[in-house]
Amino acid sequence: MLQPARTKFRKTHKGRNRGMATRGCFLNFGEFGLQALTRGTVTARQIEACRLSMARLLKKGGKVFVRFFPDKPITKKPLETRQGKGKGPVEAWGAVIKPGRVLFEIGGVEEVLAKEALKLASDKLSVRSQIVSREKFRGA
Amino acid sequence: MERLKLSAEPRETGKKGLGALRRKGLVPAIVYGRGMDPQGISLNSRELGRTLGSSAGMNAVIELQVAAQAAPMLVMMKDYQIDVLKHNITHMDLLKIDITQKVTVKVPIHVIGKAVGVVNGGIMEITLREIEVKSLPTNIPSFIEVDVTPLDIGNNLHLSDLTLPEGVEVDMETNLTIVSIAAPREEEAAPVAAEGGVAGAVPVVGKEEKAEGEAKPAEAGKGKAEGGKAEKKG
Repeated sequence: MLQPARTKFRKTHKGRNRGMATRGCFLNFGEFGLQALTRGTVTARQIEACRLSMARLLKKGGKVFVRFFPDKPITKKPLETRQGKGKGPVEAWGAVIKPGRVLFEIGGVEEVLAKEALKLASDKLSVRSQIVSREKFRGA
Repeated sequence: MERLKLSAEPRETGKKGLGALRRKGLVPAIVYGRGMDPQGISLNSRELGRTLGSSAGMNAVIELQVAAQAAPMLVMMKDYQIDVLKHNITHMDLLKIDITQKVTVKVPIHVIGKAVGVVNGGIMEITLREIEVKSLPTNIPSFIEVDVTPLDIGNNLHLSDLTLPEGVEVDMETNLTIVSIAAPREEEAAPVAAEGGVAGAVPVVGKEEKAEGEAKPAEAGKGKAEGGKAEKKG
């Protein structure tokens, strides 16, 4: 699963997810993509599930581009633990997603297959998303 | 290249009132160029959509008629901003052009044909989807067609392989790859579970490095937190 090779700090603050995505909003590699419509955190497990399901559908054809990286450590206190005693251990890695972010792109396959693959990925994410194509961005 | 017509209303430049304009179905725009002061205008979004939907696309030469101005001026679309979710144009930059001067524009590349390599199981990767060309505004092609049929696995198509229309030259220094046919990828490897539980141990560098040396990553949180509290108490 995706996670940083090394970090400067072990744990981070939870933070607040505000605003719209200003970078990574356009298709840059493939012909079709999946764009986030809502905000949230997508974990490395979800990314792996999406990637695998798309790769299985596309078999050896086409190419999947993952346009985001889970670089935020998500901590969780162990079960049946009293409050306090410091922040819990890192349980997962997540990516902070803002509306407009292009999550996945697919290139080199027919439209029908690409959209079917993106639908599979969309169903595995914790944010709502829409399928976008290059025409929608007017060649951007 | 066909010449399109677009009408516009003058507007005050600045951010004030832009939301109201957009709610009315207008798109704020600015027109600038040599020998004129930048002028704020507003365009009808439907009319603009029709213009963009023409075969010329973003490189159309437009006769812009601003209300209260006697003669139309020739402009081209220079830049635009879009709403990333709705994909509506929210602002447009128009550049006044001189029809006798060459301009540098981006022209889309249309890939046609099915490559031999793809038939044999390869994957076609399009790395360059538009190229910068220098040409007179009247000679700009709507798109450049690239036939990939003879490409086999491992073959590439470069900028130098393109045949451009007369009067059009590439305005890019590097001989970039446009299309490549890659070999089919190997079977997807099963996901390897990260060592040390759900989230694998990630080395920490920098300020926490010292604390990291004392405790293992998975246990470090507990150890450090307790240490921190003890310090506060002390």
